[in-house]
Amino acid sequence: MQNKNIFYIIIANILWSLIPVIVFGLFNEISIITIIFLRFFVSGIILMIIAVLIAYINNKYSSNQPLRLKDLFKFIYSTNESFFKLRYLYYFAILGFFGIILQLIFFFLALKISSISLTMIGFQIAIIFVAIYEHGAQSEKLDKFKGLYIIILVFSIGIIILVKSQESAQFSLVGFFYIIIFTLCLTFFQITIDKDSYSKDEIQLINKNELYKVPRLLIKISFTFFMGIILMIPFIFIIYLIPVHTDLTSEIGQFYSDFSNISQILLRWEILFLIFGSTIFPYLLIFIAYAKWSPYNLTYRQWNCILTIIEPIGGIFFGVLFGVDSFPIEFLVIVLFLLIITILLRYIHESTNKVNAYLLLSKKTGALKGLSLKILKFSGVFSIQSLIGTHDILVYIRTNSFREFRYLVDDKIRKLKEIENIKILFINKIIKITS
Amino acid sequence: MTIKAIIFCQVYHNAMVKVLEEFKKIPEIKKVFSLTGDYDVLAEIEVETSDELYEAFAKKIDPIEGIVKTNTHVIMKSWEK
Repeated sequence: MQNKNIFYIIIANILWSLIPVIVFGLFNEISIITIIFLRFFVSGIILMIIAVLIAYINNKYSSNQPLRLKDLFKFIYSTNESFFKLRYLYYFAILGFFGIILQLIFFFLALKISSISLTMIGFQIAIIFVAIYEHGAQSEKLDKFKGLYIIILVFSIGIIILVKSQESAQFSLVGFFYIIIFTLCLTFFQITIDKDSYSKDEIQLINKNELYKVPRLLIKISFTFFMGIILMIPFIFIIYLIPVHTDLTSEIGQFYSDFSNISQILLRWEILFLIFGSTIFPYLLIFIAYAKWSPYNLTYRQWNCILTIIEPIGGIFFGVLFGVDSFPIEFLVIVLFLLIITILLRYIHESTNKVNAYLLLSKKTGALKGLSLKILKFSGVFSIQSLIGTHDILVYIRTNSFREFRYLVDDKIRKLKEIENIKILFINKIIKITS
Repeated sequence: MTIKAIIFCQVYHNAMVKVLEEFKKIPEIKKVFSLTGDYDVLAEIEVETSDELYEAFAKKIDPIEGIVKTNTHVIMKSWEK
């Protein structure tokens, strides 16, 4: 089952890596703003319809707990405890605009004026930035494997820049500026996308019907797309009014003229592939993998971090394969080899740093009600069992590092006034798991 | 109605591998973990009745050589996310 989920992440990353090759041919005819608008507007609508359909099929044809539309959309108006306690709607707007729309605008601008391989360094740099952030935020250890992982990434970036600097047509300061903005937005997206936690009501819903997670994720991404697009409209209007002519001004001008034949543009195979093949299908795969992820080995997030490098690998490889980008074959082999090595190093890093443990809790008298859900809300807690015996609650914990584990146990769980005593049992080895 | 219970075990020095192998063979035991801490092994057992729980415990778990002590907890309710 887990192998199937890992396979889904790989396929999703490969499909995303095809985006540069697909859009490259469109840049001369269609504005990048039109491409972004159509991709996220249409995908948002379809993903929303799929979410509602899943709920309808569940309610009509299965014996599972019904998924009421009211419950599915309720979380949008609640506050996101993991993101400055902002309402989810504002979280979607920030994530959608800065993490998706701006990222894509500058990614496409960089692709248009430089090359695929040079633009792809943004992914590698973003991975390094996220690693530095995680180290700074003390959520992940920068061990020798991760250090080596970063060094190899830097080395591969160096080779790409060195090779591309020979081609003056594709190597410009403006191009680098776009890559930097794209990288910063991508870093923001990767850090912020997981700043999301289930409320007590949602945890209860999940325990009645596990399927709830899939439409919830679909609604989350649809709203993120919609809110991003809604904010994009005033943004491009303001940029258009600024009396300084930029590449973006031309794209905005073309976007307005594209609008007259938007239906014809929508039916182009490249746009349809972008919507279905590189947005709806990969997101569905990712969400199914996430919802069905078994917590007993590496987490979904860890595998996602390991496999995220597939996107730049695929981007560079497909760019050269389909003749959209040029890259000397000997350097291409070296770059791809180095990036593949990073997958292995990241896997070793994630495997050696993971912490799998059980906590045995004794609670104070009268504190049982609500305590389990309170603990389950914490990030890193995967399951809770309420017990009859010497101890009252068994908590299964899975963290990416000892820092995260210490923070969860000492700063979160131990501080709950309902808890009397905690016993920590580290899991050395999983011997048997059958369902 | 399914009854689930957690069995925590302390195991004699050098008996760990044997005890884990024995646990793996018991079909009622669905999950087995080797631990570090107050207990050496955690096993989750799943049966349909309390009689079955007794049978599994008395005939299959209790006779395993190498177990020093067990501490069993019945699961009232489980939550996952």
